[in-house]
Amino acid sequence: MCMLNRRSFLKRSALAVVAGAAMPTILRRGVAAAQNDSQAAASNRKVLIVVQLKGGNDGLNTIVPYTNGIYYDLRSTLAIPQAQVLPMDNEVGFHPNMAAFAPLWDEGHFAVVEGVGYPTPSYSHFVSMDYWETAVPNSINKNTTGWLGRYLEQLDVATLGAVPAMNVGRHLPPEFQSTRVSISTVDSLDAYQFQEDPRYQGISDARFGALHGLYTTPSGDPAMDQLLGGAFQSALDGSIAVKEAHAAYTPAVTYPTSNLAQDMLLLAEAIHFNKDLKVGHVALGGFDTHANQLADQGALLLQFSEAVTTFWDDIVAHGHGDEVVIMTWSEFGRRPKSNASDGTDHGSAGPMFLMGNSVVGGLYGQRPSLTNLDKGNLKFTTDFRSVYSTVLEDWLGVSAKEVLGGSFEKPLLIANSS
Amino acid sequence: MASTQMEPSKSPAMENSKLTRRQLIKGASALGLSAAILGPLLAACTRVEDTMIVTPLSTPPSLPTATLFSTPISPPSFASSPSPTPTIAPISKPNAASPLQSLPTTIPTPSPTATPPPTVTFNLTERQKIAHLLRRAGFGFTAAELNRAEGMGLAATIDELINFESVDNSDLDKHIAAAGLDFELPPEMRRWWYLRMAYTKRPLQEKMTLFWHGILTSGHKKVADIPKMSAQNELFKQKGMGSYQTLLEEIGRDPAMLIWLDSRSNNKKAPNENYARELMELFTLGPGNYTEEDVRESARAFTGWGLKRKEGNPKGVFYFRDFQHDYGSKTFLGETGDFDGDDVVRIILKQPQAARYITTRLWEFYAYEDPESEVIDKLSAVFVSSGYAIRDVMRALLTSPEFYSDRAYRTQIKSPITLVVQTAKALNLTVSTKRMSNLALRMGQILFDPPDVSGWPGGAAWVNSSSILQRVNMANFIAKSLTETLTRQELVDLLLDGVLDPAMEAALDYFESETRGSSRVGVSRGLTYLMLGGPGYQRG
Repeated sequence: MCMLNRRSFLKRSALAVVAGAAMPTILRRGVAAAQNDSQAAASNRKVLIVVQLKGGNDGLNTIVPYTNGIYYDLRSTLAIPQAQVLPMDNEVGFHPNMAAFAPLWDEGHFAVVEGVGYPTPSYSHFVSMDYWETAVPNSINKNTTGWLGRYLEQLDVATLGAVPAMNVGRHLPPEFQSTRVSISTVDSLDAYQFQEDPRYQGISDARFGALHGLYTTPSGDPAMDQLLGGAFQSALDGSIAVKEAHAAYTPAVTYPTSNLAQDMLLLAEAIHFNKDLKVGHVALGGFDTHANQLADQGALLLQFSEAVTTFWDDIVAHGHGDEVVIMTWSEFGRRPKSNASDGTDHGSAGPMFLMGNSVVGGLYGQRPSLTNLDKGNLKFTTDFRSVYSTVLEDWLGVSAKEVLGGSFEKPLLIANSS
Repeated sequence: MASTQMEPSKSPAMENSKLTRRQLIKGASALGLSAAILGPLLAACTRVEDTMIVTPLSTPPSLPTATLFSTPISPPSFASSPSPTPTIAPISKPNAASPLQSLPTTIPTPSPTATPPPTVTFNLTERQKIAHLLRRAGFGFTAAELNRAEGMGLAATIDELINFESVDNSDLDKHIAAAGLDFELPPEMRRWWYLRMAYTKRPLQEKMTLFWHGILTSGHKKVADIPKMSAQNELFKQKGMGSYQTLLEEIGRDPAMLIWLDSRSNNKKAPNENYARELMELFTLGPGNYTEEDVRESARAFTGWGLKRKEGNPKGVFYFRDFQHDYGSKTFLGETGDFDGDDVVRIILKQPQAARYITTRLWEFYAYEDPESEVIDKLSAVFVSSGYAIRDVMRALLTSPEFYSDRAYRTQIKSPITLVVQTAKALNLTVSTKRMSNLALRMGQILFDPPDVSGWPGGAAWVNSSSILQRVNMANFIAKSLTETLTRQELVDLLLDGVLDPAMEAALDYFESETRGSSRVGVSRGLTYLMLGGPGYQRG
């Protein structure tokens, strides 16, 4: 079923060099990727892994202000009992289901930025997600590219390598939206392979060759060519890379069976084998807890923390601990006062997490007041673009101004910035 | 965890023990349909060979040779092919007797229409316009259906689509009855809808149901009640072409919606804003056309709209919980009074933006994105003057010259569902509805389970590396299922409106030249793969 493998790919690449100008794009990139492999200059590479918590994660029940009586007043039925909170300091602590993060926190590689948001918050999932994804708040414009897409555009697009970024999931996150870079989005390993007609294998080459030609021939509509042709090329490159990586990889730890953990395993494989990988992205949905929050959010936080720490332990065991920073985000926090359905409604500011050997662990940003509210919602204290700026400049090493279109004060939470 | 714990300034609330996840209540068999086997579909269809079980092959499955990319796809021959216009390629054989017309039709020959078609200023042939219409206002066509519509002419075809109540649809009922679906299972509920889309004689009714399912959406994932999901679908089917105001009034009382957007827990003491917000943001006005204060105030107006348990209907039916309704004065979009939910709908519809919003959503679904403002001016004027009659606005839409323009024709990325159903119809395939559902799922669409409250984003969002791979794999699945040997020209007529663009022509030529002497079935399957899997077919 799986038609392509590295050997035939490289063999074709080598021959294609002879063919010269007629060489399709994939082969030029394939050759470049192979050269990168041989150089193996991966020691100072910087990979960003983004974990999205979709639906608006309730920050107050994630990083719990367990010594603040106001919290317990506002959250009558929903508060996390003080005795269950895992204290980070004398004021806040982890939700009990996030115990898996304790070692990273104790080692000083887990940072929390509190009160992250943006001016004039939107309480709509889609609008607020759009703001975070484009990093252009307060302007809804379908055609704005994603901030991670713009980051990749900052690099030399011609030398990006076959799979510079990878999302695990069925839909491409808008963060990766770009007019020039096409990102692989991998649903699952098995599904992510081109299939052939088993009865007529003899003509598979001609068939796939003709199809490939269709996707690389300009149609007169450049935007459509980029959309469809870019996606096809990315699927071709990615399907080979992902399959070969998975076959060759042995996890150092046992991954949980949750979707998020299995998705992150694919990212670990990509980090290990694909030296070109710059950004990985996964998402966990279900945080829109208007009702039944304690059970629902608790289960999600458990899945989240176990998946992320397993992934972390695995990449550290594979020697990539210094190469990776993990960043989490959610489109908004939730309202401090719970509703009558044992849930919380859409709110504003919430915490972001960063993890990695280069991350200086601790609490950052100003904790929003639970009494000085804006129509019942928290007032944000750190613009999310500040955190993006830190990641872009102090980790990925590009100009945040170019990507974000402005300068933002940076929390200094990355050590040894280069 | 070195830090010590401090006493809170007030003692925390006691642990709450009742917060276990609610049991999903099994859907009742309220639809009166039972039994478990999907019966034969189109009896007259080509039978599909089930080739999904791929057995290990003696030859290695990888592409063995270097010929794939090195010489054969000589980009020169592809790219240098003249591409006369960037939009619609000239029609190669406009009205030449195509093989389609030699197939049996219910109505003999296409004679130019008795009633003149709507004035259009663009360069599609009548047959192309009708093919376009049947794709957008329905789910494509079989060769026979296209020939029949061409015989009727464009105007009469539009009439039949719009006034669908007069069309006999009893064949569909027979298909459904024969399928013997078990409505306790969500997959079978999906298969039920696929049957409807594939075999209805009232395609616009189903397409409109799909439109509303993406706007006034609900998802089984949360509702977890099949009869309620089906009842919402029935609401769209019965009222989806009627009054927009009525539809909004009824969706607010729709049990699936009451669960999906939490109205059932919207109480006087602590209003739940979910429904009120999405009513304005997603159903009627769009972001930026109301304030947060309007959300809060209208949420109060909807307090008390909930569900009451009833025997045989575990999660209940609509019930106005009087004691939970906030009878106080509200100020909403500039008006003040003791409003309830129907008042909120009435006040929303007074906003000029309401007509513009929903006509834009309709246009984007049926025609193309970012319509010219004149197009929306025209449609929203029709909408307002008709008292929000959806049928009137659909007639205006389907008769607009712009609907047949080069901005519309074969420009829209097909949704997975339309791609699957159209392909099965075009090739007259007996693809099981279970298979259809699985194919669409892999390409990113699950009926009755939209990704979130905004439905499916559509358009370019359907395309990414994973979904394009699945689209190509669907082409492979369909191609290798073919037992009938269709000629190249027959396939072009069925799948590409008879138009070969230069790139496709070059690709097919190349493929045929490389496979000269190979099995005719294999080549026919390969041609099908290229047409279905190529970039052109992803747009319809």
